[in-house]
Amino acid sequence: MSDKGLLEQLNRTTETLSHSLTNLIRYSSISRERDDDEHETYDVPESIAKTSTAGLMMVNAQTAQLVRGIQDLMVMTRGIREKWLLTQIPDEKTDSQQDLDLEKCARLLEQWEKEVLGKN
Amino acid sequence: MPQPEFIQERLKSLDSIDDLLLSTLLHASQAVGTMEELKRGNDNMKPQFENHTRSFYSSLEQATVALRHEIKHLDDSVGTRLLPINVNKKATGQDNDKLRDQFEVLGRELNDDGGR
Repeated sequence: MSDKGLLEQLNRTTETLSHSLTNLIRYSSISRERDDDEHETYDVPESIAKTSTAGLMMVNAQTAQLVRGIQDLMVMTRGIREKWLLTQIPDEKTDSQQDLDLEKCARLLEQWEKEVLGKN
Repeated sequence: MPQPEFIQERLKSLDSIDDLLLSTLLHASQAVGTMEELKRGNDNMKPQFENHTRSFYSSLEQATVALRHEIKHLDDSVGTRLLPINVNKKATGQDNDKLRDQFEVLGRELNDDGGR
C-alpha cells in the first residue's frame, strides 16, 4: 500500500535524477549538440540568441529538477522517520514496573474490600 | 524519549541516507563546475569531471539502495513494530499513570484508616 507508493516514488525520482545530470550537460552544450542531432531537423535557421536562451532555460529546468528530486527523497526519509517515531507500537517492557505493583495492588484492593465494604 | 535500539538504528541509517543525498547534489555541482572549466578549454579537467560524475552516480546509487532497504524494513515492521494505519495517539501511557496514581491514593487512604 503506502510502501508500494514510496517505492514507486523512489524509482521515479531516481530515474529523473539520473537523467537530469546527463540532460544538464547535454543542454549546456546545446549549440554543438545540434550539429550531431540526427532525429530533429531545424527548418528555420535559429539565431544564436534563441539557441542560447533555450539552452539556458533547459539548464535551469534541469538544475531545478535535480534539486527538487533530491528534496523529494529527503522528504521521503523524513516521512519514514515520522512513521518510525509516530506509529510505533509502544514497547510493553517499559511498563514492566506496573507488573511489580500488581501484587501490592491486589493486597490493597482486598484490604479495601475488608475495611470499607466490610466484607470478610 | 529514548527509542528502542532497532529504531535508533533505522534513524541513524536514514541520517546517512540524507548525507548521501546531499553529497549527490554536491557531486552534481562539482561536475557542472568542472564542465564549465572544460568548456573554457581547460582539457586537463577531464579526469576530474569524470570522477565527479562517477561519484554523483555512485552516491545516487548508494542512497537509492539504502532507501530501498529502509522501505523494506518499514514494510516488514508493519504489524509487529508499527501500526498499519495512522492514528493520533497523544497520551500513551496516561492510563497506566492514572492507575498508579489511584492505587497510591488508595494505599494512603487505607493506611490512614489503619492508623485510626
